[in-house]
Amino acid sequence: MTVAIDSSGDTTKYGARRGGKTPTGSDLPYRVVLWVVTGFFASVMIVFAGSLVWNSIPGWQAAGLYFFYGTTWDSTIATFGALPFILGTLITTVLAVLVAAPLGIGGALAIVFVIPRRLRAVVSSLVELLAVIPSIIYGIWGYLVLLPLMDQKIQPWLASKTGGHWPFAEQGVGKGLLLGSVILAVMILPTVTAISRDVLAGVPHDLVEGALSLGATKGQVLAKVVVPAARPGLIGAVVLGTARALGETIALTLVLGGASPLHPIPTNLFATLDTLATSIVNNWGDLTGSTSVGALYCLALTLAVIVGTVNFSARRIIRRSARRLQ
Amino acid sequence: MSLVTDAMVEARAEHREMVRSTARRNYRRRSFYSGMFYAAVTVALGIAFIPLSAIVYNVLKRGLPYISWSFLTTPEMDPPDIFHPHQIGGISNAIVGTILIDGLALLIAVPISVILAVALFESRGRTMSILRSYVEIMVGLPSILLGVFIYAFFVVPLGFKYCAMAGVLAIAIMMVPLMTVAGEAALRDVPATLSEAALALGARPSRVMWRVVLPFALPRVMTGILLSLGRAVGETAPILFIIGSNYAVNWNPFGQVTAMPTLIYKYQQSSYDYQREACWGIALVLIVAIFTLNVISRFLAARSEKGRK
Repeated sequence: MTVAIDSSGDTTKYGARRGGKTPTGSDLPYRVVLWVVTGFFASVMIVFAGSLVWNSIPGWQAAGLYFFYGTTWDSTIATFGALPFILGTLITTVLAVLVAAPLGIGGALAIVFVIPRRLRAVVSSLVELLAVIPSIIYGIWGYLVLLPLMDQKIQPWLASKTGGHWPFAEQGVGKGLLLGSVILAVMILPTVTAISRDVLAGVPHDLVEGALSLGATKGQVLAKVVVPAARPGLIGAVVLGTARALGETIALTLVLGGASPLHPIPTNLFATLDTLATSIVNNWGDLTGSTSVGALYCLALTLAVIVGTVNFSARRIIRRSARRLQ
Repeated sequence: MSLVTDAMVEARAEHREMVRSTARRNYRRRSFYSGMFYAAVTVALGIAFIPLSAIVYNVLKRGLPYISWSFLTTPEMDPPDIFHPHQIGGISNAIVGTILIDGLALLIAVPISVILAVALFESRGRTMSILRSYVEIMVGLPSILLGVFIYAFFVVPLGFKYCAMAGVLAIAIMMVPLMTVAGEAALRDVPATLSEAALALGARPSRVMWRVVLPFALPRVMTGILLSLGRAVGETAPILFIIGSNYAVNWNPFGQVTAMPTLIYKYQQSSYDYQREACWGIALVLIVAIFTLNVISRFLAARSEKGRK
C-alpha cells in the first residue's frame, strides 16, 4: 500500500509517539527544522541572559555588595548603591497590588456571577481591551491629567486634613509615590481582572449548584465556595499583575519624579522616588565610561532576577490550580 | 487521574459539610450579607471602570481635534516654524516608523514562533519542559531589558548605530514568546482525534502538522499573532533608546526612525503646551490601531469557534 511506503513501513513507531518517542528516520527534515529553530531561540535567550551578566561585570566590580545596601547613586564618583531603587520597586508594587487585587478579583466575581448575562460578554471584552492600552498612554494620562490634580487639589487637601502627619507630608510636588502607585494600580487592574475572570469561569458548576441547593445564599456561594475553589488561580492572577507592576517602566518614569539625592528612600506618600526600571531610563543619559554602563546592567540584571522569579512562581501556581480544577 | 477525582470528591464533601453548617444560621442575616457581598463586588467593578473610562474619555476628547488628513500624512515639524508657531505638523514619520519596526519584527517573529510552537507541541522531553519555562519567563520579563540587551549587543558593537533595525530585533524578541505561548495553546486545542486519524492513515508527522493540525489551528494562531502585534505596537521602553529619532519619513531599516510611542514620550517632555497636548492625538491614533488589531483577532476567534460547532 502507498501508506506503507509513505511511512517507511514502520507504523508501530507512530503508536509509540504519544508515549514520548518520536520517529526520526522517516521525517528527518521536519525534525531538523524544529530542532534548528528551537536551538536558535534557545541560543538567543542564552546570549540575552549572558549579555546582561557579562555587561554588568564592570558594574559589580565598581559597586560590589554596596549595590544592595548603599543609598547613594552617583556615577560621577562611581558610587552605585541601588537600595533606594530596589525598595522603590517593592513599595510601589506592594501599594499598587493592595489596591488592584481586591478590586480586580471583586470585579471579576461581578463579571462572572453578578451582572446580567447579556452584559457579561461586552464587559469582559471591554476589560480585555483595556488590558492592551499601552503603558505610555497610562503615563501621559497620569502626567497630563492626574498630576495637576494631585499637585493642586489632592495633596494639599490630604495634607490639610491630616496635618501633614505620616504617611502624608506637609507638601508634595504632585509626582511621587502616591501618584505612581495609583497609576500602577490602574495599569495592572485589567490584567488582574481578566485573568481572575478566566479562573473564576473555570470553577466547576456543580460546586456552585451543590452549595445553592443546600440553601447557601448567593453571596455565601461566592465567598465560601467559588473563591476558595479558585484561590490558587486567583493568587496566580495577582502574582502576574505583580510581575507586570515590578517591570513597569515608561508610565512610572513620567510620574515618580526620580529619587532625590538627599532622601533617596521614600518615607512618605508624597516623596519622589525611582524604581529599578525607571532608574535605568533616568540614568541612561549619563553613560560615561564602562563602569556606569555596567552599573545600569546591574540594575537590569537585578530587575530580571526579581521579575523572573515572581513570574515563574505565578506560572507554577496557575498550572497547579488548573490541574486541580480539571 | 483517579487521584484528582478523589481529591475533588473529598473537596466537594468538605464544601457540602461546610455549606450545611452555615445553612443553619439566621436566614435574614445571611441574605443581608449576601446582598452586601454582591454590592461590594459590583462596586469594585464600577470603581475599576472609573479610571479606565477616564483614560478613554481623555484620549477621545483631547485627541479627536487633532485627527485630520494632514496630521496623518505630514511629518513632524521640528524645530517649530517661526512663522507658524504652535503647529506640530503631523506624525507620518512616526506612523511609518511604527509600521517599519513592527512590520519587520512581525516578519522575523512569526515563522520562528510558529515553528517553536510546533516544536513545543510535538515534544515531551525534559529539554522541552525547560524551554517551555524559559518561554513563559520571557513572556513576563520587563520589556526595557530587551532594549538594554539590544543596546549592548547591536547598537554599541556597530559603532552606536541607532536604527530601526535595532528596534526590530528588540520587538521581535519580545513578540516571539508571546506568539509561541498563544500558538502552542492553539495547537493543543486541536482535537487529538483529527491528528490520530491522519496518523492512522499513515501520514508523516510533518504532513499531519502541515495539512491537519496547523490549518485547524490557524485562526487561533492568527489571533495570537495579532494580539502580540497589538502589544508590540504600543511598546515604548525597549525601543526608546535604540531607534534614534527622525523628523523625516524614513523607510530604511538601517536609518534612524521615530515611532509613535517614542514621539509621545518626546512630546510629553516638551516644555511647549501645544506639543504636550499633541500627545493625545498620537495616543488616539495608537489606541485605534491597537483596538483594531484586537477586534480583528476577536472576530477571527469567534469565527473559528462558530466553525467548530
